[in-house]
Amino acid sequence: MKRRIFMLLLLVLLVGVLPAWNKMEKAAGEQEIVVIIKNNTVPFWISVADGARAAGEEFGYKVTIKTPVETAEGSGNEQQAQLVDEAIAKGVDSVVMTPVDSKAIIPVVARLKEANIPIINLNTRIADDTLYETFVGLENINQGYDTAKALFDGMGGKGKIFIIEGSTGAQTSIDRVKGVEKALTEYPEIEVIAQQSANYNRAEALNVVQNLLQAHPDVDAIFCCNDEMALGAAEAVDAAGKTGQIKISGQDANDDACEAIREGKIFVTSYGNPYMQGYTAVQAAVDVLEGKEVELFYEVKTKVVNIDNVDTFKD
Amino acid sequence: MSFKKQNSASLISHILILLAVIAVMAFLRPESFWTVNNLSTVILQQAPYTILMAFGMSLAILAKGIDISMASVMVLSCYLSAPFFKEGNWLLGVLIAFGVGIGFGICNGLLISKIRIEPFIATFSVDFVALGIAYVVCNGKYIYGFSNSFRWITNGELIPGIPNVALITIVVFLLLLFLTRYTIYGRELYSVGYNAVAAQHSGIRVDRMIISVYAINGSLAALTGILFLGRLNAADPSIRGTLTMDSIASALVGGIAFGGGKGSVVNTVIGALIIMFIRNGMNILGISTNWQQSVVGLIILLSTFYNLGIENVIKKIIALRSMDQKQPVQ
Amino acid sequence: MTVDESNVILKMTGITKRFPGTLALDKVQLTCERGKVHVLLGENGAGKSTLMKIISGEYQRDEGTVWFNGREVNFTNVRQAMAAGISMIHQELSLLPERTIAQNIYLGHEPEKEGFKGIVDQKKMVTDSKALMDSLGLDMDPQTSVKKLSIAQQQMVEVVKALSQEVRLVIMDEPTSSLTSREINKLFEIVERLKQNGTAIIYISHRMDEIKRIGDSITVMRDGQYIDTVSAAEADLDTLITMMVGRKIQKMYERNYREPGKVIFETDNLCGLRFRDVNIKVREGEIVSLSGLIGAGRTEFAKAVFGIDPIDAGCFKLYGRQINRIDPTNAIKYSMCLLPEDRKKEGLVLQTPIKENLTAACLKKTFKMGILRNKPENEIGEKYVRELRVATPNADKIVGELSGGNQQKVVIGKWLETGCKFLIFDEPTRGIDVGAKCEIYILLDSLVHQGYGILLITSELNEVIGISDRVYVMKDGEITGELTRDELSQDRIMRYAVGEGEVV
Repeated sequence: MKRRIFMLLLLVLLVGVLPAWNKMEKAAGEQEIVVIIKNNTVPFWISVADGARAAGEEFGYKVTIKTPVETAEGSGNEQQAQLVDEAIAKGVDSVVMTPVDSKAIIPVVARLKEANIPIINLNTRIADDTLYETFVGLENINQGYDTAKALFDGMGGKGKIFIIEGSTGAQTSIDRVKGVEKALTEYPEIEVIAQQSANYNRAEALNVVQNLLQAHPDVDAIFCCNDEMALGAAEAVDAAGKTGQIKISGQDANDDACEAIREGKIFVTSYGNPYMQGYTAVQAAVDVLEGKEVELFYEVKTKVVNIDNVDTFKD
Repeated sequence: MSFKKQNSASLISHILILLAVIAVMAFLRPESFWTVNNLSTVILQQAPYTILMAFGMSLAILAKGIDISMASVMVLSCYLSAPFFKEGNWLLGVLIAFGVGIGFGICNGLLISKIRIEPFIATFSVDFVALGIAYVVCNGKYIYGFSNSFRWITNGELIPGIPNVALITIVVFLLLLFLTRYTIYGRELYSVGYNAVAAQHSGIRVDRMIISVYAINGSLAALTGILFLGRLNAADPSIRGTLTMDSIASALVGGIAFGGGKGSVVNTVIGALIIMFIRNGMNILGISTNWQQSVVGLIILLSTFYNLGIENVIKKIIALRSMDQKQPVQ
Repeated sequence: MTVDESNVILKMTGITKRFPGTLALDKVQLTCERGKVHVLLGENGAGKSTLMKIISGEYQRDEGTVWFNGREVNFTNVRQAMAAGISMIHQELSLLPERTIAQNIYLGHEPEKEGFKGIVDQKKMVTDSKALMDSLGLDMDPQTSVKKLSIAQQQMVEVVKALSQEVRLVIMDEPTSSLTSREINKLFEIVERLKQNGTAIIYISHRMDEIKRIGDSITVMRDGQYIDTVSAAEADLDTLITMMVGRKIQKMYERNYREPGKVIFETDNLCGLRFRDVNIKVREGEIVSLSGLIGAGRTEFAKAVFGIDPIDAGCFKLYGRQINRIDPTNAIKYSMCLLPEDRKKEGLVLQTPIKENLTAACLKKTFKMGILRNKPENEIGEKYVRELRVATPNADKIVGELSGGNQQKVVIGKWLETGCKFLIFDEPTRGIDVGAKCEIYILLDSLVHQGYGILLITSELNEVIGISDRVYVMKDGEITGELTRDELSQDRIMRYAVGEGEVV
């Protein structure tokens, strides 16, 4: 019994001391902005992180990048929730948030709001816009629309296409497909003959496209919701000996995709300027912390990338 | 009922599942599914990777274990060797790929046999370790674009009409079939799978056997990785995808029983083809990719139920035909 | 023999049971009286277990009538039989190791707290178990968890469990197969008490000596048929065996003693898990028994010598080779083998054919270049099936489908094929019927004549005395005595085994 009381006292002591210790640590340093993004394995997100860090250095804030460990969609939300709770416990000053799952994140972000920590929404929208101060990102619908238009023009305004979606439920994929649909209304002679998900995964896209080509050998173009899948699709088309005949579009303009554009394997992709996204998000957070007015939406402009500007688009 | 007949009953029943899957798809979409081009794409281009990985998984399961780490070990060996393949330093690339694969395999084997960690837990942990290192090494930079001569290893056709990857898979299949069925090694592997304690009492070095099985798994992962580089033209951690689960599913659907000793690599091939044809057929039918997961799960369940039912019927037919002597019931 | 009709509790007549392809029971009869022990005797496969399962409701009969407690009954499941007062103690222990004795005893019929339906009255359960155990003369704490008990104690708990409900008939299926003689005495005391209470007992056993000790009447079965019922007092052992096996067995223990040769196995202060400072030797052409109570450390000793378990200190010499560390692979290479205590778990791969088990320990010798071939394996299979008289149509049959005695013959064949000359046999005759036992004794005798040396571990004293050249007795991990053939007696062995050796 004595031991139990002792343990209880120890526990109370610990619980009492920990937050105080946290505050001490904070008082000693500068103000901290936590940036929670989707992962740190894909080039796109590494650029976002680079941009965020650069902004932090420029404005004199401490920027910490946090990501879920696995890329799998299912576990991502859980892990982001944990990261948010850690941020609350630590008492950071602002959180930049890119949700893996736009809806499931709502209750988690609401906890930040309760703790009076301002939230900047980055890249992928949180489904409840009362929760965040501002949204920084590109308009995925516009990005999809612009790329689709470039692809359709390349096809001469008519033909049959596949749409390869990203992970089911991912807002980026949903919006980009909406963009394609918007473009389709302007091109009545373009027909979607198959639409399937390849989970933003290169190897999966290779198999899916290879299988779809069996059912529809007469396809003229493939719209993919990111570059990874476009690269997989390119290999499938290559294996079928139809490189150049079937035009492929990606999104994000990562290094591999640019290389594939130079090789003529991918027709067009779209640059979402991830560095700028990260930078702008931290800048917005700084503005909020310093009491400046912020707009509801900072749109980072996208750029269509094809063989003509593949070497110059980043300038 | 003799030993061999039991096994052939199980095999026949699983070939029937495969034929049923093909028949259903061919009936629904004869014009796109039931074509030489499609069948050869699935069998010769898509299935080999799953089959090679599932071979390793099957060996582990036959030895009463499991290897969750295979796909991640594959990704890591891929990643570490890819720069050398890209430079054209093939020998070093092969050495590194197999070094990593076999190294992690031996590590798994040691954890399981010497430290006596449950196979699932040991390989599950190693899976995280390997994938973690792969992410660190990769650091978001993919390695893209390999020479045509390197990609020839995978996509070229040494025998016209059969891509090299399929040829390699057939060779590996024959080697493993020979190894498991016609050598002392194979006999010892099955003994360890059935009853490791009795195997030990018979003087079989169980620890060495287990280590060697996981080392073979590692080298199969490395081989798959090299071939995958050629197919995908890139080293990319996402190729790990569902390969581990697909290879476990292949073994199960093919009729290799958890708990060791039952089945052979022939079952593995059948199982992998069942899975690949389901994925292919559903793509062609235009059914969402997400449904494929559920369907694969259902097929695993079905084949388990089916094992219990149809297999017994087939056993009885074989028993009748061969006029097996009636065994008294104790 | 005569039966007091008024005293009959169970009467079975014309019982027939068919399984697909076999006639398991053919018009069998059995009559049991209150307060009497009825012994059921027969080789494995004679139909004893099937008959018992019909009484206890596990199987349904195809023909015949069963009268129990004055009424004709037809139990369709075990619960009905239990409710009528029939309780069966299985050969294999079926207790939950993580639970206490009391919880095990009342498993399935826990007493409920007064006024609280569905709530177990723990206190009552403990006190009732205690009372029950006291009444049987057992001194155990009902709150001990079962995993801490020895096999023998667990067996006692099984008995108590069977008696925790109102019981009219108790079936004991080889209850003594894993007990030492002291524990057997305890069990027989309990049987006596049950008899006094008017409970009828059906007792299945292979052990001739105990049958005469506690049996009142004996029914012999063979090949699913009823042979005869005799009074235990008048029964003659040889007659019983002849009735059981259907042929005359000359003598149980056949030994032709000869002068032993050189020492092939000698330990030097060997220590390991649960044994220490063991110094024994075995010579060529000798059967040396290692006797003692269960748990004395004999099996642990054998496992350490064979390299399954580690040797902590000391060493041993095998054919002149000094050995400090060993594993089974090398043990076999050095011409030593261990026939393990548990043949199903340790001795055989039950799912594989006879021939594959026969070659399991000498694969490299049988198959050149590491490639399996049918011919040598089939030859080996046929050779041992023939020589050891394994009852099977061919060597392709799955080992798990054989009876215990035949399985044991396969394990022996496996070791003979290796060519190992020093054999350690751990309980080679446990759970094996008389006919097969006899064959094994004859085989052991012929082996020592061919120059083999045998170390025999057995709990059956008759066996020790019947076939040993020399005996070491072990107690609590130490050798407490050595007896030559001329000195052997049950009494002497027991004194050393329980630690009163010096008093003699």
